[in-house]
Amino acid sequence: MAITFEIELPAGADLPELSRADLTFYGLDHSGPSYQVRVFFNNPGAGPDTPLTEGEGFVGKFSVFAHGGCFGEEGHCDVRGPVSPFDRRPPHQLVPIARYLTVTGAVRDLIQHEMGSVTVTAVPVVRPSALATADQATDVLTVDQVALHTFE
Amino acid sequence: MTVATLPAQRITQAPLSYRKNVKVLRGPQLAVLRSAYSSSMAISDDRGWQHWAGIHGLPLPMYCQHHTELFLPWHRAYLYYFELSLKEFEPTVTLPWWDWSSAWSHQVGFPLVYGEADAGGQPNPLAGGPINALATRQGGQGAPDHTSRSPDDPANLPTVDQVNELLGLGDFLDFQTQLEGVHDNVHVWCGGTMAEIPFAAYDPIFFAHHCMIDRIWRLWQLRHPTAVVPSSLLNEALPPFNITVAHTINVNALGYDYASFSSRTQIGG
Repeated sequence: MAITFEIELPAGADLPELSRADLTFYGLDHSGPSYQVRVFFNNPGAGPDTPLTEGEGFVGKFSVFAHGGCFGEEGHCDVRGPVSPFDRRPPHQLVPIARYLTVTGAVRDLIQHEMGSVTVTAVPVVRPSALATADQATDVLTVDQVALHTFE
Repeated sequence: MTVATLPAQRITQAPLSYRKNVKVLRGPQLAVLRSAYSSSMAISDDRGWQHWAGIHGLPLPMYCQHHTELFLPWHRAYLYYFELSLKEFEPTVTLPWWDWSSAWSHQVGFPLVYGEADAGGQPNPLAGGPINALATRQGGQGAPDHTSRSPDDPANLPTVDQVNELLGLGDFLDFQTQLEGVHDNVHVWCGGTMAEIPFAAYDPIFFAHHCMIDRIWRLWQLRHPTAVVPSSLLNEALPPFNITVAHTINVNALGYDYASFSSRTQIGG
């Protein structure tokens, strides 16, 4: 299911020229089917059939190559942490991930139009594959936090 | 007084193997590649294809590193060991790369030599293959027993501009994260078994795709010779392989490099 949220943009008279703007999604799940996330600015009605055009507010997409489900016994895919201060094992493979999308041009345009914030809509799409069906897009996208970082 | 001198020693250096663009492989090189894959696929023990494909995903344990700081080093080690396993059958074989950013790929999608069902009257091993029965059983209901592909529009493959942007990044972890994002896009573009971690490596196109990823890392290293992998990662092991991240930094020390074209002629003994 798509998620829509508002995020603050940099503002002020003395803003330095930005060279790059990243929209970072934290806490993405990758235990289920692989999926694509299409991101739109100021188009809260965007969905899987919305054209990927500037006119529709499309600013980019990213994919998450995922694990396709759990293939072990109960508890196999529960994300575990260290069990002792001496636990040298690598982190569990299903620790949620962060992904960032570089949206420099779109953010620059919004700042030039003196917009204080932008409405972001993230639309998940699941392409049918060996382990997935398109209707799994309804619950594939989980996000803990989204941040906008800009750089001079 | 006479001064004894040692005879000049003939210094030989082991020649590097050069991985090539799949688009420029000639008939004999393709024949060697197909022969190596066919031989690997004909063996069911831990020298063969099913074993090597299964290291990445099912059957458990899944060793691959995705969405971690070990993504590039682990996959470089994987390709290195898999390529050595193919050399057991064909000593001159090297893994080719699929340049999915090329104008050619944006027209045809998958390389033609990976798509043809037959090659010279024989089944083409590069077109796909069966999946380990244990992996299928662990995959549960609906899990595939053979590879499949369901490609998206070739125009949606990553572009040369995207690759150039990656090569311009100056920090290893930033570069790695962005490159993995492009890598994910290609897996999802392929559809079928390539689109899911548990079964992706059972499709030979997996190794051509990852060879391209490894090549981009190599190109980035050449462009940013002072940018390094964080020291905190260098001693990390890359199971099930008996090397660490540090061993993966220099591809020449692993015996290979990348070339658009490479031919060799033996002169003398």
